[in-house]
Amino acid sequence: MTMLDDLALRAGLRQLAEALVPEVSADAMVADEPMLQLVGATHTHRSRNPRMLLAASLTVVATILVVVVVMHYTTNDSTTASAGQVGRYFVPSSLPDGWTLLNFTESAVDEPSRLPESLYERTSPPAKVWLSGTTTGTRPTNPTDPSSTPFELPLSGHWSSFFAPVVDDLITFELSVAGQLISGQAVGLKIGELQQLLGLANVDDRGVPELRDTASFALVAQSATTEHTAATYLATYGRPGTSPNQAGFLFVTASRLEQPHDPRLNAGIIAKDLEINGRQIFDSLITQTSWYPAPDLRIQLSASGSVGPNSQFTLPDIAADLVEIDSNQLDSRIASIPDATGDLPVQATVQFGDATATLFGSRLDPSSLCLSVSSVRRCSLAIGNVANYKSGIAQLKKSFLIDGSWFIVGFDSIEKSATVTSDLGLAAIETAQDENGRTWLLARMPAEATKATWGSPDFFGAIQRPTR
Amino acid sequence: MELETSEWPPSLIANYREHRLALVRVAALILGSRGLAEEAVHDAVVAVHGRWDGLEHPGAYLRTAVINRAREILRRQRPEWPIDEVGIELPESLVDLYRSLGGLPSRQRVAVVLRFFVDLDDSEIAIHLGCRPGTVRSLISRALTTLRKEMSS
Repeated sequence: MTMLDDLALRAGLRQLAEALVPEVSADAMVADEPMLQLVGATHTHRSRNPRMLLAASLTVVATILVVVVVMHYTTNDSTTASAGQVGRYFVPSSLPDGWTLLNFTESAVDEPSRLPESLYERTSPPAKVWLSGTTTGTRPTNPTDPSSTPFELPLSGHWSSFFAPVVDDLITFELSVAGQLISGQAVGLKIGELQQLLGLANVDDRGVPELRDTASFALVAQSATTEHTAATYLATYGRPGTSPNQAGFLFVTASRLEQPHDPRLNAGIIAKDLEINGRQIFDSLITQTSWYPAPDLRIQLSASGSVGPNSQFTLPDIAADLVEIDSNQLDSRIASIPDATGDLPVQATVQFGDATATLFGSRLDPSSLCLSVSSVRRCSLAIGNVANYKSGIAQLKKSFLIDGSWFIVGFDSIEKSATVTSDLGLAAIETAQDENGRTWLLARMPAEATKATWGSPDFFGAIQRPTR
Repeated sequence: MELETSEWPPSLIANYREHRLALVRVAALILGSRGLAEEAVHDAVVAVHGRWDGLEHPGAYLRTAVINRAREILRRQRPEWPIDEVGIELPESLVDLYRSLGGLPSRQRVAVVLRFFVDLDDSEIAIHLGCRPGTVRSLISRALTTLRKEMSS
């Protein structure tokens, strides 16, 4: 295909698509297995190829010496938005020399655990650390319980959105290092704890999977006190002659973080009703991830420096210095944070009557979304979202409580079809275009609303009313 | 308690079975990997199932969800195109196209796939990309220039 005219390109793409996804195998997969076995608490026979995802993750981890430290704590059981109660927070009591707390966002997903996000920065050598939280089953993740839809599971420090946070959960980090924003994943685990899990993994009826390669194990993080460790384990199982993209292939990673009773298992094929020590492992509806429904919250601390001998010196220090603070202390701490991102370039400004939303930042710098209403401004950390905004990729949603009024603001790729529904009914949505022609939405939530769900073709989320 | 098959809209199952191959192929051209494409389609189907019955154009909705999910994977995972793995399985005549397509910036690649494989017009692609039709034309023009250069070399 030396001359690439339109017709040749159409033909080439068609041939390429057919070569990448042959019709026979694809149909066979459909015929072999009802689609719905892909999800739910049933095991699947399909490899969804997390290998690339994890391989990329490991590459990133190995390259930039990512440090992942997981802190574990439990929260108050009865946190309610209306009462303004909060759970327990762990933030650094002090930071190593050169580090500053750049921005802090309390997640709007606050049932029952509070999931703060914060961004730390070191100027020299340049590095930024994003701290976020995630839960591993703060309530039983029974996917068929109407009160526990998959869109409402508090799975991460973001929205409980459908795509990103579930993919994120314990493993995704987003870092700005030496002027470059890095996204990646790191999975922590210990190989010694995996044998029981692997032994229980039922593979499809086409054969018992065989270990295809040597399982790898790498310690990627260890705190200064050696109490908190995280490591990466990767193993692929499958019949001889099969490839990771083929059905019948078992791809396993598992997390063994701080708590011996809370490993995390990812598998291309997940056995049904895995149970370890009497604890059920659920296959999430929406990913291949399995969860222990432990009533705990994990905080993941990720960081990186430039590649080199000084790459891993600060994070253990930070992690080891985490202390518990209460709500008032948190308020004070937040109030003391300089509005550093407000000095960053303005990427977009959009007006909604008396409200103004402004997106700050650049691709290489931390970004922040601020909403001003009647001269009161609140800002929310929005790391990475400037890049998304520039590239036209959905999505950004942030929740603000300003003078007792609750707002949800953001943009989406198919804005016109988005809806915001509160527990008191459909919320009024205002749309407006920014200077770049991008459509934004502002939802003014009913005064007494305590919960909202957001729906659009590519984004789903449930969100609680912020408490501050 | 498990999610019962009967809970899923029959029309979704039918639509999925009818269009799954095409959807996976679209995602594969965007992502360069059948495995990731399967993942994108899977996630999209799960995403839309809860609202399927109320959709006016469910097929287009599902396709949109797949494309969005594929783009989300691009953004989140920034997957490398596995030329070493896939290339050996491709006919020789397609290796260059695969390599060149994978070398495009993701937005250009998505635009090219939507234009020349899915056969969408500028305005439809613009909706997917969240940009103006003029931007789509620019993206495709630049992509074609790159592809022609790469392919001719």
